[in-house]
Amino acid sequence: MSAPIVQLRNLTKVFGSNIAVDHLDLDVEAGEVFAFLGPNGAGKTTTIRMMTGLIRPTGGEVFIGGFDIQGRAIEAKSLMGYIPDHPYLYEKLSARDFIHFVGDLRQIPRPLQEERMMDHFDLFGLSHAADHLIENFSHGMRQKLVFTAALLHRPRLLLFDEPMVGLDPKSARIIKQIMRRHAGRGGSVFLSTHQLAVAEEVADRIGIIAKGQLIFLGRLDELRQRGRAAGTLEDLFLELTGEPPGEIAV
Amino acid sequence: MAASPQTLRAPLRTILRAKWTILGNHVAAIRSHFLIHLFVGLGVLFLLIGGGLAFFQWLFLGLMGFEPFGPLLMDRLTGLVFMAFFSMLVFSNLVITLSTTYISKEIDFYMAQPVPHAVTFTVKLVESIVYSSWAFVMLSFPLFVAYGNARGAGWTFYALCALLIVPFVILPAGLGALLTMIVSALLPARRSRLLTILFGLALLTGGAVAIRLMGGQPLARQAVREFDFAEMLNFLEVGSSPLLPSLWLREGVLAAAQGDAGAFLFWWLMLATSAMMSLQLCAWLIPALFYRGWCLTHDSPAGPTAGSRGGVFAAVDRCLAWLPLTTRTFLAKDMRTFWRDPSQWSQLIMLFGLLALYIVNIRNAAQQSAVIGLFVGRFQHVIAFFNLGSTCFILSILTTRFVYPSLSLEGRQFWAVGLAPLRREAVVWEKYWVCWIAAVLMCEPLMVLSNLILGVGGTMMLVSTVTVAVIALGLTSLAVGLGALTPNFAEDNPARIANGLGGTLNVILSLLYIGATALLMFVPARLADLGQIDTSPYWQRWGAFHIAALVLINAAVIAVPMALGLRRWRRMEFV
Repeated sequence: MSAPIVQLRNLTKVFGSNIAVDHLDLDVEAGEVFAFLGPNGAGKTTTIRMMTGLIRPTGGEVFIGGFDIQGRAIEAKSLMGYIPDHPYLYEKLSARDFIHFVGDLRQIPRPLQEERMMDHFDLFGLSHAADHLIENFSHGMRQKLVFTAALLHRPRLLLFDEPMVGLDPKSARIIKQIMRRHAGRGGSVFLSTHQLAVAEEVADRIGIIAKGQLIFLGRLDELRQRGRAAGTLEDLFLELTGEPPGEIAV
Repeated sequence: MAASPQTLRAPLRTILRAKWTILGNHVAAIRSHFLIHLFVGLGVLFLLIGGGLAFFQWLFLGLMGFEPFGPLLMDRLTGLVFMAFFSMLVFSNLVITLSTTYISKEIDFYMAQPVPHAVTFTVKLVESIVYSSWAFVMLSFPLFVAYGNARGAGWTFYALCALLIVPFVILPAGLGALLTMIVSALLPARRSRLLTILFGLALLTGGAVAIRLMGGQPLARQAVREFDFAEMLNFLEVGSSPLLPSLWLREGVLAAAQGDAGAFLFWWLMLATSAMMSLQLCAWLIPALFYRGWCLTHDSPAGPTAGSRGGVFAAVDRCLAWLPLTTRTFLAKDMRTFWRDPSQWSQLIMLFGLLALYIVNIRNAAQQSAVIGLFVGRFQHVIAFFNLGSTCFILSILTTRFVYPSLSLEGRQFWAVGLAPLRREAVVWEKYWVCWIAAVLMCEPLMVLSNLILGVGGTMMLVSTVTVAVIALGLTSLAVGLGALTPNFAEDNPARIANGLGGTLNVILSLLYIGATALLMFVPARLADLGQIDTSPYWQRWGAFHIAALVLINAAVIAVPMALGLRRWRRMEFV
């Protein structure tokens, strides 16, 4: 069996007196969609940003495809495609310019860039806006463009931070299909979300994080079994994360 | 491990190409408003270059007529101007590097791509050089032209000056980047405000000490009275240490004007090798410090924000308890959001730093004007008017950068403000009065202090302080009125809003307004100084015309933009 594409070892991040991620150990295998669940402020985005090298861990290590993200950053980043929660886009570039920019940075030949770009633009219904400036794009169009850019180099690992925000139902379904197809072809997906339904639909394995600690790690059926005892999956999630149910009198 | 030049070249080329495309698209966007931009561009060129050229021509040609001391004095003055430029370049590079290389969201994007850190740093350094030096190039252009004219230099002089300028703008950028890199990597957490304050204080203290220590002695007024040229020239040796790049530039310019190839090459090499060394030091330190520093500036401790429950803000809130609740609420919100936004802060600190440098320089100007006054009649009055114009110019930059974008920034929050039981215009008027009071509180002490340093008389003190208060009203009206007329709700970066079409229009209208007011005041005062005005009916009519024009222009600038802005704001649709 090949080595896991993602290896988090004793990963810790401390901001001042706040422990955002607390000694996290986690592997993600090739061909797997891994959903990282947790309430707001649990440490999901901090973990992903450490995985991409955007934040330096206070302690522990991150290996992507066997490369240490701190020591071998270029090699590790070459293997991943990242969709941040608030992506940065150049307003005065057209969608095509932006894809060429990202493609050139990753040294993909232009004809291949065009081919892959148009495939995804057709899929997302973005072809008509290929030469429009990004400043005129709606939130959903921007999100689709970011997906296209992240998928352009056919990365082995896709890192998604809350990817469904702002997408229409059709695009959301396409993204879920892309995740499954990517895993089916041997790639891996690390998906951070707080939407239980999305995780249920696409994930092979689920990790739940609360207050920086991994409090559940297992397959979906294991979670479902525990869910039956607790009620719905939502009830189980709230129970595990220690969140108050938030019931209001009707 | 440092990346090899081969691995850097391809991503560097890609990023620079994208930047070029972005620039092209900006220009293409301007095409639809071409006439306005042409008008704005020509206006700025006319005011800055034309005005500067007229001033330096008049000064240099006047000085050149007084052999043998005049030309020497001209060289020393040019050196002092270069020293002021160099200080400003270092300071602006420090702040620009901090905001573009460490705080900018664009760096997040690069960091997530397989782009070597050296490439990211280089791109941002180039941007820093461009952003910080264009003003120097614009402002120094008339100086070089006037200097070349005064010395009767040929076209090669201007080509050689261009060669000197390149390393002169790169060196402070390299030094600024180096210092930012070191400090960012050493400070333990997100301390942008502290960082900029430290930079500002270090530079100002260093600048003041350097000015005191590096050559020259304070000028005794007796020396001027007794025509003691040796002592006067000794005073003008301020900033003539051979360690200062401004001296290298001064000597290089002199050598270029005199056609001394050997001396020119020597001074050019001094500048070029120092600039290259500063870049090489950056290149050596990038692998060890850049990523570390960038990560540290993004480590923000979670938890309650300082002052959210008590402290300074609560104290200010208590002091403002006499104001109506809505005004107080807007004020409280504006204060807190401003204080907690490091990008706003860094630029304000930069402007205050420039103000402090200005005060230091005005001290020198006061003493120089005493020397130059021997050659050019009533030069102290010219400097006093120049000081008035400069203060208003600084104010126009502040209103464009901080006041003009303020209404655009409200657009995204209009779901909260717009649905409150208030008249829509309340927010516009709140901005107007707060900004005017802030402008007066900042500019009046500056005006009084610089007037005292210059030793102007009571009439000039009264005229200049009243003028600043009235012009502050006009500039605030322009910035708030145009802000309401041409809001940009899509952008949340105030610097970008200020750089847009409306912001540019605000700059040019502000400069035209200041220029017209200053001219209408200066011309009669100067003619009176030179004894060319009498009490005949012609001059009485001429005076009445000037006063009427002054009142009319100021009334129009104070009233019209606000009236138009308020009308537009009332009808605005927040889509």
